[in-house]
Amino acid sequence: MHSIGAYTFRLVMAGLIVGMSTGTAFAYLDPGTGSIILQVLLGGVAGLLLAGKLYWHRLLIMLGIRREEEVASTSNAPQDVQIDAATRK
Amino acid sequence: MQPPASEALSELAPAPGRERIPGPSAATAEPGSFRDRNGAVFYRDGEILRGISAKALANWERLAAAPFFQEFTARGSIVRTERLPADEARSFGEWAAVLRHEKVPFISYPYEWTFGMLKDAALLHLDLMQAALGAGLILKDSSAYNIQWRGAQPVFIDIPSFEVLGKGEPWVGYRQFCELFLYPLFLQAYKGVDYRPWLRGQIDGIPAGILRPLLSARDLIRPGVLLHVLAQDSLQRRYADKPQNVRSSIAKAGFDKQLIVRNVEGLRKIVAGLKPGGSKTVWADYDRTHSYDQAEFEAKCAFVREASRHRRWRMAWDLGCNTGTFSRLIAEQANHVVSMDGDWMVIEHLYQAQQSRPDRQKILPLVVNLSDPSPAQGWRGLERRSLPERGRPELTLCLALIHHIVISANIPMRDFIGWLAALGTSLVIEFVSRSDEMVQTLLANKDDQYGDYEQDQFEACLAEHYRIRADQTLKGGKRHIYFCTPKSEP
Repeated sequence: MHSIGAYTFRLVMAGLIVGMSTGTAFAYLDPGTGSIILQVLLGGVAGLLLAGKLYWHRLLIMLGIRREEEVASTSNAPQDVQIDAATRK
Repeated sequence: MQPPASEALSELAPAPGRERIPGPSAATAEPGSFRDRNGAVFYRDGEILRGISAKALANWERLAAAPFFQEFTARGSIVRTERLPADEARSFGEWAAVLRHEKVPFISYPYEWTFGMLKDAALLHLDLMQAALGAGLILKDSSAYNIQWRGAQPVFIDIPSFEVLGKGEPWVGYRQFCELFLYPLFLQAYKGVDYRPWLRGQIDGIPAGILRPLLSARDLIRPGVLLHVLAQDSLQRRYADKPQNVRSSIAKAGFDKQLIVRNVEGLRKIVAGLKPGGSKTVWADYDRTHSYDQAEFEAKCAFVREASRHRRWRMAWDLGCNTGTFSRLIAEQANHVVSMDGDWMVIEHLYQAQQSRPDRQKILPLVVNLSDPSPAQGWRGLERRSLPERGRPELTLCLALIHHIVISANIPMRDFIGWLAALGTSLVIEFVSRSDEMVQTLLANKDDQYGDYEQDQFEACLAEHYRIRADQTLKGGKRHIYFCTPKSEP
């Protein structure tokens, strides 16, 4: 069972996740944008860390410390993946 | 991938809409197999074949080598599948390869399953997800129609649904899992509402936005509701009209397989804990009484057993099967039995009881109201088939049912016997006379407009279509049982 607090936290996180890149469709079944975002939140601790990382980047953009392009390239950087992977050990 | 509407139809004449496709001999395409362009099901000489694309072939090769696939297949949880030799496959046209599947005895749909069946099907799906993820694969869709039954054992049939999981890819079938498994189970477990009419009404299941308004404040604390229903509905609404490619964004941010594993584990825990709501006694102590005394009941059993020994039956139907006593009797002489009753509690009882019996793989219990059986539906009315189109039996049992059909459902007796006769099967049928207390109960508050409901008229109806081979009076003359074979048979 999930507490209301955890739920609200996850929901707020969800609202801050979505990136802006475009690409082609991959499957005959539409997974649903909202349902994909939710999967980050349903991914346990690793999911919350991923949500937190995405939130942090959005925050930097809002504060003008970082620009949109930098977020995309940073997210692509191998060290990001490694950091994320390390947190799951 | 959406599954074929039926994999058991190969012994029947092609239905309308099934097109002939190139092949060494007459092959017909399955009209319900079209959603995923990476494959298509067709039938030839009693075989179920599936053409697959080059992409699907690469996935199949990876799957066929995976130990989990071999284990699940060995224990009967995945349909046995082999690849046709290349020279044989070439004759089927442009497919990269052709697979041959084992035949499932009788195709059924989730709106005919009990709560326990849908739950076990969901658990099998999640188990396959877990095993596949461990091997770097995933099930790309989550249609409940991808699971069928060998008796009371669930079997996964949609082999091309297994595909290699790309790096950073989410679980594309998650929403579909919710709509076709989780929400219907929630509806029954949390609201005590029968999900079958909902699934029969919408081929793609119950969307989060439909379930959400039905939930009360109290339901919000039930396992799975906040995130899988409320949050999902909110997020779907929030992003419904936005063109972002979230899949790429999340992949770039480092979305990982472990997140899917956690989600699947969480879902498994939720589903495993679900119990059917609105039924305090559940099926543990459920045992419907019958109106026979023991000696008379044994006489009835002896008649049915004797009739079933007339020959060996490939498939038998037990209509109005109750808790399945007679289904088990005829299963001794039949390869497969489909047991149907409109009361989901007795079918649940039968399903659960079958789990520990040696004839578990022979008897398929289904919730079917014969006065309103599942129709043909879906695209062009061909994706899902009506009951008789899915494979007819050779023997039909119709015990203590006719009074419900004629008096409760107002179906003329002649029509009903005509419908049975159109199945072209042998028949064991019981006539329940007006002196029987069950009939008197049904008539207690109704206008008696059933002048035709008399034994002599019943026998006249039977004689139009059947040869009566044996009959016997039961219950002190209140009932009469008949064994008949079609007139067309020698």
